[in-house]
Amino acid sequence: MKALIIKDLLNLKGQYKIIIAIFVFYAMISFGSSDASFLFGMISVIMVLLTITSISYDERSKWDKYALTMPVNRQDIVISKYLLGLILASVALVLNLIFTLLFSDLSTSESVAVPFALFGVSLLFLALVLPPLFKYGVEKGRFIMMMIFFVPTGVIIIASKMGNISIGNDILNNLPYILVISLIIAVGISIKASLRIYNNKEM
Amino acid sequence: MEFALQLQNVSKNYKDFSLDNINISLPYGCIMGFIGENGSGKTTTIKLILDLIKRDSGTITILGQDNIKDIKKVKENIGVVIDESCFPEMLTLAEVNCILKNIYKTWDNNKFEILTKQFSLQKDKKIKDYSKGMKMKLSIAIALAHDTKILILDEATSGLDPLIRDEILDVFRDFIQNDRHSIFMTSHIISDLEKICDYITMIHHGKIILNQSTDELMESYGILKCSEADFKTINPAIVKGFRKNSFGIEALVLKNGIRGNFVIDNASIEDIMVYSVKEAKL
Amino acid sequence: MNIIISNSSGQPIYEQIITQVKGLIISGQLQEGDALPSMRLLAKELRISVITTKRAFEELEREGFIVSITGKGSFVASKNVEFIKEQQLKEIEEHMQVIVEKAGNCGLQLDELIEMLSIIYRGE
Repeated sequence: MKALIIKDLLNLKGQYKIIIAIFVFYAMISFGSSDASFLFGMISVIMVLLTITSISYDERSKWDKYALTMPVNRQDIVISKYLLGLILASVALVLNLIFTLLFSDLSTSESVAVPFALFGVSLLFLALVLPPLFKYGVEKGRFIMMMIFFVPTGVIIIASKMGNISIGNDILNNLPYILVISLIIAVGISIKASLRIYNNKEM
Repeated sequence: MEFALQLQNVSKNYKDFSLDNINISLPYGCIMGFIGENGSGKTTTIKLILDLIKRDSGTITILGQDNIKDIKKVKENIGVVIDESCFPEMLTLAEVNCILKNIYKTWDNNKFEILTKQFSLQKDKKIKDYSKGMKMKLSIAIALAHDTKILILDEATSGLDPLIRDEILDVFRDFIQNDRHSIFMTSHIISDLEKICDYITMIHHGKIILNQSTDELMESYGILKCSEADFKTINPAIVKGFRKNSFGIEALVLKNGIRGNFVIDNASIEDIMVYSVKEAKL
Repeated sequence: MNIIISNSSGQPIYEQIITQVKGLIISGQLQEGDALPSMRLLAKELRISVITTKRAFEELEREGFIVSITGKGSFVASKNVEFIKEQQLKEIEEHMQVIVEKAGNCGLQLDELIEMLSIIYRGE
């Protein structure tokens, strides 16, 4: 499994320069403006996309078929993608924390909360998107990916336009815990689903 | 007797195609060529052997181990080349080596260096810049650079020029000097198989229709050339297929069943394959 | 040691190997106890199937020309060489008998006969 993650990280090396360039560019822009929040979001999004890109590279060279002829089993392949996503999201987390704590004028608690929230959202997105990708591949799964991105976004936008929705204080106070537990459950279900899909996949 | 690779009563059913009761036995120390026209079930069989798809019935053992239960252990000893499959394209040779070190417990750095040098593969080039031939050579180098005891090759020399193919066949011959090493290979380049294989197995419409040693095949079969009238006097049981042209008949026959003075040419494995599946009518 | 095989002569390859190895043994190029190349090495160098070389070696062993020891290889056997040589000498004598009779029938003298033999022997 270590080998698979190394392979993905090395294979994605062409993308790193682009990411750094984007990062620097937007960092410079946001120094000028007061609200740089989209920068953090963008880093998280890029990291999620990188995970998906690695799956797409694998598809291009029919890697999965080949890997399974080596001492690699299907479980290794599935888990390695989740770990890759986790590693990349963690990198985004660290970068975002550096940025918010050192360069932004957010309060300390917000500076910590925003990157962690984004971290959670990235993981949630991956948890939702990886099983369909394992089943249909990147090309066919693109549509599903977009749905997973746009539907919740659309729901939130509509909800925010609908005026005040009150959420009880109990829930608000425990929100972080509720969210973390939901995230862990979601990821757990996702991994189980991916394993089941991939174990039965015909190469 | 033990076999390096054995398929017993293996079947796989798809909607419009099935592999029907496949039996293949490859003894240790031998090379078997697996031939069949496109769509005959060759690739399906290879995928079943490698557990890339699930079989509906039968058993498959590789080096004496069941191909599903003990698979991770056995894979240390299997070297595979599959047409069109390889490492992701942005990686270089050095990175591939680094990854494989962590995949195979028996990865042999030195052997890999020697082979890649022999195949003139450049260290710093990315795989996306490799030609098809180079990708194939890389796969072959990888297949041999660990404790490989059986090579399973699917079209491992297709798309390569005759010089490289000759070089690679020599590499395979070297591999087989150890009499516990075996090779199972498919190829459309039948002349390569004729040169190197000990056994030929042929599959057609999902069934095995031929399974003999190369020597026996080339000794027993011949191409009979005669008139249509003469052809009708030949015992149909020894005719395996025939072709008719405006000036006579060419038929694949078992040589020892022919009496009398007829023109009988040597039959190549390719002839045997083509005549066996042609369904000509008089 | 040279083994030359032809793919286009009608003779099966394993037979050609048998004939040539026998020839090498009878002519003395291979002596008793000499090691033969391994079946696999021979197959590799001649670019033929191991089954062919195996068959040739098995036949040679069956006829008593070589012995194969597992783990060590194949070696030229002792007794039969003499026997075969004697066989061949006997055959030559029989041929010579026929020649002499025929020579007698057309009045050929011994010295003429010897000259004919010399020419043929030298390959002119």
